[in-house]
Order: sequence, then C-alpha cells, then structure tokens
Amino acid sequence: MKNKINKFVNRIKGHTELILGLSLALPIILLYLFGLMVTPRKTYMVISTSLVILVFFVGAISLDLEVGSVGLPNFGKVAFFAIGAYTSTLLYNYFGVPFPVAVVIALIVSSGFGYLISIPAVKLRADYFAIMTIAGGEVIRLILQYEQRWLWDPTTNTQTIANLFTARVSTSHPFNKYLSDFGITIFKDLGLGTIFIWELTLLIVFIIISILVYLFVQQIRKSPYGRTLRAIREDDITVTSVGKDVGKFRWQVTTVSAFIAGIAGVMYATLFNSLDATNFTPGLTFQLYYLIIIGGLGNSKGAFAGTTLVTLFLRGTAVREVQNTIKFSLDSDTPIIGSILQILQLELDVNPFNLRFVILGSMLIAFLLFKPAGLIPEPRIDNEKYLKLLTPEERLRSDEAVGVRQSLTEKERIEVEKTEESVL
Amino acid sequence: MRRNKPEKFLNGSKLIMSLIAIDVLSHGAIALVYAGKLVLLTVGLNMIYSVLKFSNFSHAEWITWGMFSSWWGLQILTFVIPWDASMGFIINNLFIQATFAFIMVGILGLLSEILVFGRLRKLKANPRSFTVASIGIGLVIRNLLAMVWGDFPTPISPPKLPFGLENIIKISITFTYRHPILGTQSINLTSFKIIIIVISIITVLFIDYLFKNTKFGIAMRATSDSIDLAQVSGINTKRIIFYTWFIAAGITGFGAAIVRATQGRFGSTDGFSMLLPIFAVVILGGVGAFRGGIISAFIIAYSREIAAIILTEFQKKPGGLEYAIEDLLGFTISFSPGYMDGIGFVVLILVLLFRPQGIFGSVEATRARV
Amino acid sequence: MNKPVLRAQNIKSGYGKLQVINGIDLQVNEKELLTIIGPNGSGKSTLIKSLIGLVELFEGRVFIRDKEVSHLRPHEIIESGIPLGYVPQLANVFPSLTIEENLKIGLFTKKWDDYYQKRIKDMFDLFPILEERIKQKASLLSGGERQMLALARALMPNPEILILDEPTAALAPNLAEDMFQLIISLKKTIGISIILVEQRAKRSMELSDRGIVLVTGRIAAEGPSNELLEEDTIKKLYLGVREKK
Repeated sequence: MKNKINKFVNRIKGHTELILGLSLALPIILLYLFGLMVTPRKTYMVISTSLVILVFFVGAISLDLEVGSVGLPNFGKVAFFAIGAYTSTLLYNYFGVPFPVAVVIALIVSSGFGYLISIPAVKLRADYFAIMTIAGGEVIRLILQYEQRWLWDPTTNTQTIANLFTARVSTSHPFNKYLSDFGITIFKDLGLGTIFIWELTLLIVFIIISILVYLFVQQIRKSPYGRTLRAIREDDITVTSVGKDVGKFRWQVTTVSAFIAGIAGVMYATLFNSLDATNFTPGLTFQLYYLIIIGGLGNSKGAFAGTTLVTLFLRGTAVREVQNTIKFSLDSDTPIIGSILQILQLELDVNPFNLRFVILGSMLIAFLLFKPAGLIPEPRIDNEKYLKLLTPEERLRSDEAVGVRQSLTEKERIEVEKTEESVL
Repeated sequence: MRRNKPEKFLNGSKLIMSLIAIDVLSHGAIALVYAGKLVLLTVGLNMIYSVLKFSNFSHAEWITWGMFSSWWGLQILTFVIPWDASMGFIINNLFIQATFAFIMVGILGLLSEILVFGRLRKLKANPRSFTVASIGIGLVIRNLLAMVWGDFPTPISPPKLPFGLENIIKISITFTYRHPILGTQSINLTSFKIIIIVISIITVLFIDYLFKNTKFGIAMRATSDSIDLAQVSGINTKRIIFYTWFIAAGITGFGAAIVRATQGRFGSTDGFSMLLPIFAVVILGGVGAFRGGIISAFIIAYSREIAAIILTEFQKKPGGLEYAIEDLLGFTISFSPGYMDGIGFVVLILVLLFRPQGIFGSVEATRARV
Repeated sequence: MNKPVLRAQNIKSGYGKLQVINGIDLQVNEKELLTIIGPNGSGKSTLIKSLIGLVELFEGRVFIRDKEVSHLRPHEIIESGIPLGYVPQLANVFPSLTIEENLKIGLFTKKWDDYYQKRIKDMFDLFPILEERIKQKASLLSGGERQMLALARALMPNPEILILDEPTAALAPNLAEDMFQLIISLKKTIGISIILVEQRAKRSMELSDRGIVLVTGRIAAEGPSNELLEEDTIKKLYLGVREKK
C-alpha cells in the first residue's frame, strides 16, 4: 500500500509544473470569463485580448531569445518596439512610402539598432548592461516625445502621431464593415456583439505572423547553432577556448532579436489610431520580463504560456464592471480592526487596478524564488548527455567561477537523484 | 523658416545679451539644492551596489515609501496627541518625521532581504534575478502605497524644524542684486534647502568614514568581495548584510522625508521618476566611492541646470539658441524643455560605454563576484 | 602518539539535493600533514568545506580539539574561540582591501591593537614582500604573491590547523616547489597541523605524513604516505607513474 502511495506521489512530483500551471491558469481563466460575462462587448474583448496576446507573444519571444538563450539582460526592449512602430508610421504618413516597404525599412532600422547593442554587451557586467539599455530606451522615448521639429505630428503639433495606415484602412471598404453585414449574424444573435472586419483581419494576420516567428525561432533553438547559444549562456569562457567566436554569436542574436521586436512594434502600432510616446516606457519592458519569467525562460512555449496567463489576468481585471464588483475598503468603520486602523490613521482601498499589480509582482517574486525555470522550463534533452559527462564538483565549480552569464535554469539542472550508483 | 540677414543679426545679439544676463546665482543655488537631494538619495543605492553587487531597482520605492511614511507618521501623531498651534514644532517636526521614515524604510529594506534577496542568495541566483526581483518588489510596494494612500495624498502644512529653530536662527539666505547689464542675480534658499545641503554632506562623510575606517566597514567590503572568505575570517556575514540593508534603506528614507518637506506634493511614482538620474550619479561617481558621489551629484545637477537654461531660456524664439544654431548650421534639433531629464541618461550611457567604473570607482567593482 | 586536532565522523554533505560526500571518516593529529588527492570532481573541495562549515552537513559530526563544530558556520566556529586557517582555491584574498586590511581581517574577532601589530611583524618575517606593499590593494598582486597573502591571513590568528585547497594550482613549477617547502617548514617550526588538498599528487604525497585518496565522495584508500606511494593501483591511477615496458 505504501509503495502505491509513493509511486503516486512520485508521479505527481514529476508533473509539478503542470499542476502549478493548472492551478494558476484556472482562477485566471475563470476571472477572465467572469469579466467576459459582465462586459457588454464580448466579442470585442475576446478579439482585442487575442491581439494583445499575440503582440506581446512576439515581443516575449524576442526578449527570451536574448535573455533566455544568450543571457543578455536587455532592459530597453521597449525602444525596439518604438523604433519599429514609429519608423513604419512616419515613413508611411509623411514620406509617402507604401506601407509594406515602410515596414521592411522599419525592420532594417530596428535590426541595425540591435546590432549596435551588441557592442557594449561585451564589456559590461550584466546589470550595468541592463541599466544602459534602460537609459538608452528612455533617451529614445524622450526624443520621440519631445523632438518637436522632426517627430511631431504637423497637423496637431503634438507628440501624438496619427497612425494614418490604421485610420485609413480601417475606415475603408471592406474593413469598415462588420461580420453581420456579410450575413454572418450568429454572434449578434447570441448577444455577443459584432465583429469588425478590420479586427478580424488583424487577428488572422497576427496569428500568421506569430506562427512564422515561432517556427523560425524554434528552428534556431533546435539547431546546432542553438546549442552553441546555450553553451555560451552557461559558460562563455569555455566556448571561446574551443575556438568559437562568441562575439559573432552575440551580435547575431541581438540583431535577430531586434528584428523580431521590430515586428512586434509594427503589430503594436497597427492596433491604435495614434502613437503616443508615453506608451513606450520601461514599464513595457518590465512586463515582458514578467511574461517570460512566469512562463518559462529559454523556450517559446513558455513565452506563450506566460503571455497568455498574464494578459488574461491583466485584461480580466481591467474590465470596468469587474473593477466595480471587486472593490472594498478597510477603514475605521470596518469591524474588529477598525479601531486599530483609526489609531494608525490607515485606510486600505482595495481595488483591482492596484491589487492586480500587487499580485503580479508577488507572483513574479514567488516564481523567482521557487520556480526560476518558470511554468514551462527549457527542455533538457540535449543537456542531459552533456551534464552526465561532468561530475558534481565540476558543474558547481563552473557555477562559481563563471557565474555571471548563467541562466536561471542551470540551478534546476543540478538535481541529481541520490542513487546507489554514485558510489564507487 | 528663412530668416533674412538683419533678422539673424538681431536674433544673434539678443542671444548674446540674454547669455550675459543669466541669473547665474539663482540657477547655481537651485542646482546646489538638487545636488544635495541627489546625494542624500544615492548613498543608500551606492551601499547596496557596492556590498551586494546588483542594481536595486526597489530603491525607487524606498524613496517613495520614505516620503509616504514620514507623512504617515505625522498623521498618526496629529491624531493621537491633542495639540494646538503652539505645539506645532513638536507634532509637525521634520526630524521626527525623518527619523520615523528612517525606521520604516529600514524595515522595508530588511524585509526585502529576509523574504526575497537572502533566499535568492542561498539559491546562488545570478545578479539578473536579483534585479528582476527588485523590480517586482517595487511594483508591489508602489501599488500597495496607492491602495492605502491614493496616488497623491495632500499634505498639510510644511513641517517645522525642532525646537523652533527656524525662529531662533533665521537660516535663510535671500539675496537679490540688479545690474544693468548682468541682469538680476538672486539667491533664495530657505532653511529646508540649506538643511538638505548640510545633511547630505554630513551623511556622505559619515558613510565614507564608516566604510573606510571602521571594523564594520572593512567587514562590509570583505563581504562584498567574497562571502565565503569573509565567513572564514570570522565575519558574521548574515548580520553584516542585514545591517547594510537597514542602514542603506534607512538613510534613503531619511533623505526622502527631508526632500518631501521641500516639495509641495508627492505621489506614488515619485521615486521611479528619479531612478535613472540616481543611478547616473552612483555610476558616474563610482560604485563604493561615496565622496565621489558628491562630485558626480554636482556634475549631474549642474549639467541638468545648464540644460534647463539652454532649453528654456533659449528655446524657439527670436534671441533663442535654437534659432541661432539653425541660422548657423542650416538645421537643428528642437530645444524642448523635456530634454532636460535626458542629460542624466546620456551621461549614464556615456559613462558605461567608456568608463564603467566611474570617476572614482575601482575596476574590481565592475566585475562580478567570483 | 599525537592527539587528534580534527576529527570527522561519517560525514555526508553536498549542495541542496546534490550529495557529494558519501560517508567519510577522517582524522588529523598534531603536527601532522595530511594530503587529500583524487580525480577531478571527487569532492575534495567539498570535503574540506564541510569540515569548516562552509558546506552544510547532511549527516555526521566534526570535532576540533574535542569541541563539536558540526553545524556551526565558519564565523561561529571562530567566535567560539577556535581559529580557523583556511585558504580556498579561488578567491583566496580580498581584492578590494589593502594588504594590511587583508591581514587585519585574519584577526577579525579580536581587538585590533598590539597583538595584531605583533602578528603582522611575524607575517612580514615569513613573507617579506608583503611588507613593502602593505598599503596596496590586494588586486594588484601577482598570483604567487596573492597565495602568500592568503597564507599569511590564514596564519594571523595562530590557528592549530591549516587547511589549504590546491595552493599550488595557479603557480609555476618552481613556485609550487617553494610553496611546498614553505608548508613543510611551517609544520616544523610552528608545529601546525595541515590538511592539504592537492592535484600534484606525487610530490605532495612525498612530503606529507598521511594521505587520503578520494573518489566520488568516498575514501578509496588511506594510510601513511609512504605506503600509499608504493601501492600499485594508486600509483597508476593517481600518481601518474607509467608502466615500464
């Protein structure tokens, strides 16, 4: 009987990530469904959430490539979004460049900046690189926000730039119609709201783009190139000594990553009728980090899981009706603790807008402490063979001596079972 | 915009006239106070950077919590103790508020170490995890503060100095001088602003002395080099690290309370908006170089002030620098006041590119701990 | 018969879920030089870190001079009055501290007054080069000089036992030999017990009194050094003695 229980427990242990994932996903999905029920514009909510998920998914893949695969903590990701978004929009708006060409140019510019980033990456310690990228991102944001001569909208004379592409296309035939205009009235009949053709088109296009990006990055990861990247992340000194030019890998990764981030930026821009520089703050970069750390570093499935969960959570709690429901105050009138609160002159106004960030931040920290590999950890297939060749001391020695650029998942890997075979 | 020759000449001479008439003293005084604020608020960050070797982004929320908690202390006092106008300086007392903030933020720092960073260190996580964790902590604190106090609590009257100092010693410097060519030169430093400058210098000198000349300071530096080796030498590294967090956070809270006293309002995002200039000061001066931090604070404060002068007094108008450069070169970028904050960022980037150890820092500090 | 200075009973230790040391008994007596050799990854460093509290014991006990130190952290051991002389393999000095400060740290738990001054003088007799550069930062020293500083720091509190983790690893052969000679002379002059972990198995075994061969966390062989030097398997596997054809 005891054996059976042990076996069962062991089987569960092997699936901790799955259980954790489910126990997180379930309440979040329920929350989102609640929001969905409560809001009047259901189809709009579903579509807009999906669009946002896809944009951030691409962005998360881009960040994960740098951070999870090569170990470069780029905290200025938002700048690449901005470069992609603004370059394509400005070229299209004021230089008469056809939109597809504008997008291509934007991606080239974005990749160029990605290449530039690799230069300081060599010399700087990880967190200095992080600060430099934040500062760089903010400089770009400041320029976008305050450069009146070159970057402001000439018609309104403000820093908010109209996204003429979106404005024009979404108001022209057939994009300005609804599904119901074409005879597909099932959503309307069910009381779910109507679907705008433009949004539907965007959704399909975004899905295609995301799949392509995903497949592309998967190819990289599974190839020998990808293995070298992971090796660089663990111990770049050894990799150099084997004769590989680490610098070349580094700039290649930053460039590709910037390219993908540029794509995400263009996607992001097409969602809005105007671009506002105050949307491109470090907060966006931080959010990408939350996504990949919770979802799982070093793999795109993890990026998707993290993006979906966090976005559903944030969007579900953003619904106005949800905000009105989950809202209460603790103050001097509250029973039992009211008097203490009054002496302490405290008043707690629990509202979903702030509470969700408290929860998100706590989740982030909890993951860092207890599940640094995230919900979907990087698959260990290749590394098992490599690790078995090393002895425990060597594994640990490489940790201590070359600790800087290691990934979070390395600690996970040093879990060797206590077996009798470790004896002479 | 084509300007003809006479117009250009007029603009040029207007520019030179206004250049001469800059209120140097006033701007100098403003920058001095700003430098003092920077110094006060950066010492704590420098300590954490130097001893624990990671970028503590929750430092922003230390500042914010320092402001909020000092105000909170006042709230409690006014509620608990019945008072009238004559007791103003006991109740609404700057040093009581600042000390209270010291303790409150110190506790926050200590809790962060106990709950988060200490555990990460045991797991031998890499510095990036610490940084991301600090971002998470910041996110939580920022929103907790907003839930309890709202984004912009309205403060009541500015606090007073203890023992009615501002009545006994009229420590305020006001000075105005008008000159036909040089224009108006004035200084207006109220007592709080002078206190900021004085206290910031005292704090830095104190911490510097602590680091260099005391046993505790040597223990901190040893811990920063190698925890294992420090332990083997008899240093209780856990206790050293706790003290480091408490003192670093406490000083930041203390400074933030004083800064809050000079600002009319404060909000839950105040700390975050000051974060990058603060990092700029620490990195420019050099991690672990506290006295160097004074100099770098001056550099950052004065370059910001100069940028402010150039950008505001010389903006897009006749007699403005923007027009002058356009006349000279044929084109120019806009001289928008929003760029003022950008100076700190640009300095930061340049320092990191060319001299990451800063002016006074040691190169070892830029390497990771082995 | 010399009395034991350090005793370890059936210790098992490791990092987190990873068990590295699988049950080891070991003893070092007064004025004895014990050398631990073994292949890479056998757990030599982990073993000695377990003896002084840098690595937590899963099981077992450690005694220094009859006082149990099994679950004490290194600074607790020192605070209880037992000075430790430990020189790790990497990071053996404090690079951002001066030479003088490095030495002072050796006496951290004591008052820094006359006793410290006297001990510093003793160290300078042993390592004259340190005196010239006393105010310099340790980061400016060469590898060999750092090793000397590390040793000096470890000796400052007059420990009864000195534990060295691959002291000659980063040294050129002639410097390595100097280091060995220094270790021997320390044993003879001060009468200190020494645990030495070494890669240069043959030479260190020649100089020591007793030896232990460690393989995957267990003792493969132990005994007086001269006997170990003669044993065939040990010779072939660990002492690099080639078969004569």
